[in-house]
Amino acid sequence: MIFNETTLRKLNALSLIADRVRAGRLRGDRRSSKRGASIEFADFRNYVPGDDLRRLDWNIYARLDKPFITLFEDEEDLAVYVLLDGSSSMDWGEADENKFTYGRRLAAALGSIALGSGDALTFTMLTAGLAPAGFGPSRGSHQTLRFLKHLEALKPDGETALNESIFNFTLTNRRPGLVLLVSDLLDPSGYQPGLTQLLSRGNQVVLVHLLSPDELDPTLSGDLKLVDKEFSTSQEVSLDPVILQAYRRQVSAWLDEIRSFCRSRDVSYVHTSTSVAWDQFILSQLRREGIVK
Amino acid sequence: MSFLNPAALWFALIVVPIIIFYLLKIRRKEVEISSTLLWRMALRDQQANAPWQKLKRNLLLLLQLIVLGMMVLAVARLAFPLASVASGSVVLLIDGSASMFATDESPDRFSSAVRIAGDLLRETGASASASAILVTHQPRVLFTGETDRNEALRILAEAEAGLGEGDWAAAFSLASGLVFDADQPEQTTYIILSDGGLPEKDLPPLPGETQYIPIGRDQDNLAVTALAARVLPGRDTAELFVRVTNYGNSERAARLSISKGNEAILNEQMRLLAGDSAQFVVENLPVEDAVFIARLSNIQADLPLDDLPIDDSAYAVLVPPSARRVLLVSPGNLFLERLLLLFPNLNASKTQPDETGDVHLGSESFDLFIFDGVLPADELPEGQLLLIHPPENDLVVVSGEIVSPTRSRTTDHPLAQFIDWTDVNVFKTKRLAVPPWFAPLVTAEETPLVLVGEQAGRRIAVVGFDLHASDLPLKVAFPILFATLFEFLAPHGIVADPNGARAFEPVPISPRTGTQTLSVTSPGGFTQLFENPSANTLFTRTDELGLYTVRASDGENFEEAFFAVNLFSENESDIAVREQIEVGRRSLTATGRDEVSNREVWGWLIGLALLFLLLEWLAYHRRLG
Repeated sequence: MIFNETTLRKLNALSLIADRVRAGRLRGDRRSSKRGASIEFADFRNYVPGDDLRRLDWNIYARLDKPFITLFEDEEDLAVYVLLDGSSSMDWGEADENKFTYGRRLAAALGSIALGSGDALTFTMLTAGLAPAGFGPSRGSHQTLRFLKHLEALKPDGETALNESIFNFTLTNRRPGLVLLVSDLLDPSGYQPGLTQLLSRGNQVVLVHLLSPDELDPTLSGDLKLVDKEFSTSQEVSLDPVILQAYRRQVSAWLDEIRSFCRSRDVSYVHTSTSVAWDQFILSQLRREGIVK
Repeated sequence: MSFLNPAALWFALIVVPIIIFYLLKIRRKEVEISSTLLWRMALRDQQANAPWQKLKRNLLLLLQLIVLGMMVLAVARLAFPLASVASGSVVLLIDGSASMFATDESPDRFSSAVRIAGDLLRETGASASASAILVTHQPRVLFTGETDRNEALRILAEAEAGLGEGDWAAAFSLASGLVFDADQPEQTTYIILSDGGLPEKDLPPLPGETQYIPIGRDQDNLAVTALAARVLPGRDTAELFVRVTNYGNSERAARLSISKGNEAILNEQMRLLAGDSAQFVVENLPVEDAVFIARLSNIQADLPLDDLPIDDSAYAVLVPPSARRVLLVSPGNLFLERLLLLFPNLNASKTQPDETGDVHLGSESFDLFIFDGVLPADELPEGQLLLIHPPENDLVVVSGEIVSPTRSRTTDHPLAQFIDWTDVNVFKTKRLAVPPWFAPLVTAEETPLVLVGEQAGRRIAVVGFDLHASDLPLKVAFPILFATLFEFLAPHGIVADPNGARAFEPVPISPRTGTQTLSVTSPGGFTQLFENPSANTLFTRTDELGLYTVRASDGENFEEAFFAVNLFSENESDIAVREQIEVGRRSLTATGRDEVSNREVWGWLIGLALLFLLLEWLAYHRRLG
């Protein structure tokens, strides 16, 4: 199991925050900014001829001898899309620090929160070429177990074509929603066109940028031939403290660039390392960033 | 610049395989990583500094090539030409006599000579061997065949000059034996470092080339060249004689002070022309034990007098004559009786054998017993003995008589040096067998005639013939022989000549019979102790100038005496630097540095190579991080 019952119960207490996504089609469990026929009291207003008399508050009329109409919150569903980078570069790290394993847990957690909230969950694994069958759209916490089993069967494979796979996703999922993208962004073709495409569809995008500790601060040394796991390209390097320092500077600059792009596009950006306990990441960091509540 | 081992330059070809190995592709370990994206981005920036990076990568190669270059130059013995006095093996003769204490060089001439000797050693090639002889009163070899320059310099630094005259003849003899190649003696250069106080003639030539480096600049020196005290004969006063000489080349003023103990007895200001002397006599001094000190000083009290302070003072000891008690045991000998009256320090008595011919001495003690033809029946008494024509005895084996001994003559014994025996005739003498502790002063073909010796702390002299059986009493040799024997047997004081010693000369001390301990203390405080000293004890540690104290004790009585050791050497006090000396038949003048020697620098090259090796190690480990 990706996580146990205890963790699932904790997750069910959470809900995703999507305050910038457009209204959905169905009545769901989410509050809408529009006021309509729902069952939750919102406010009173003066009666005007033509209002539905069934919404007249007789208690207030009895006390105040004036008619008021009761207003209710209009609740509707949220489309939640969880996108998990399934490229070979994600299959890096050992045991719980493996990026794909970690990312899958995050996807499972975020999807479970969505299902528990009554959101319409759609999960897709991003790969180049033919993608494995996705999950959803599904709604309701009773779908959680099936969702988790779907995730368990997934394995990372192939090269990343992040922008292309995101584009393909937007073609088949036109309804705007909350897009939670979990990726290491280690795609030579970049990430910006993909994120821009998601935003252009009216989605609210949350980017969970996932890296392993040795990608952030490598401990390699000597004369090496670095072989790319995903693309099988190689890079010769004679590592000395100067080169390592340059690499760290490059990583830092790259993270700053991503953060800056996301801020400018109103994309919620959260960076984490696989050394951080994933449940703490969900429960504290995502909460702090306003992604969950 | 030259290479003493140019064949070693072929080792430089090692640079070829070093570069080849460096140019071969570095084997890199393959390591799989998640993505090379970020590495390529990081290394792209590094490529912008490619020339510097190439240089850093080549730094190790550069350092290795430098180390190789240093090692090759060291093995090839890179050398630089250097002006020198000698190019081959060198023998240094360094003057260590008293004049080298002159302070016209800083701090003195001897230190300057040692410094120049050190410079000469450094200038000669490292492979050339070097020797050095210190020329003092007893020349000694400091080191021989030394190629380790540091060791040679260390030995030189520990050498010290002495207060005596240099024995240059002995030094030359030592130096002649230090030829390093007997087939090519001319390859050895002898260098004399001196102020020129060598004998003006009779020095033999040295086998190799000889050079002379004069040490010293000035000749400003005044000296006390004589100081003597004596009791006037036949009078009850003493007088003191002092002479001062100006060895400088200009007129000098000085103050002469003479004191007796704490009492000043003379204080004279004088002016002396160059080369002139001044003499003073202090008369009417009481006849008593006294020590006189003469000192020269500058008129301006706070300034030094001259360049050689060690001869600015002198000591003299006045010893009143003390009478020695002498007993003559003889049947009758007018010659001896009259002779004894001539010696004021001898208080003589006489006795003769009784009617039976036996000798009875009584209980009185005497310093000297003279037995003329007789001996006591009992054992011989305590005290010194003079046996003339002795009968059978335990000291000297007497075996018969010889008539008209032939070729009688004096020996080379020091006591015999003033005895003229050429016209003395001995008609009959006892035949004497000489024990090893006796030494003859006068001998004949058949038997020794006059013997002196010492046994068990007692001095004994033997005259083997009856004086009446010779014409000795009629000859000049008679009083001289017996004066010598009396001085040997009964000297004036325990120090026979308290004023005649110079530095490094032995001083004979004659403690009285029965002395159990004798000590001699130098001016510097060194004390030598003699237990049960012999009657002719020799003190040899006269390496300091000044007043020495002698103390003798027989267990009950204590006696003190003094003797002085002064420089009194014209050769050493005349500190004028001679620009020319005579060696063999050649005149040597001051030498220049015309030879060229090679100064090797392999030591520096090895040191630099090690330094660059350290830098390479640091660079390599920095690269590994």
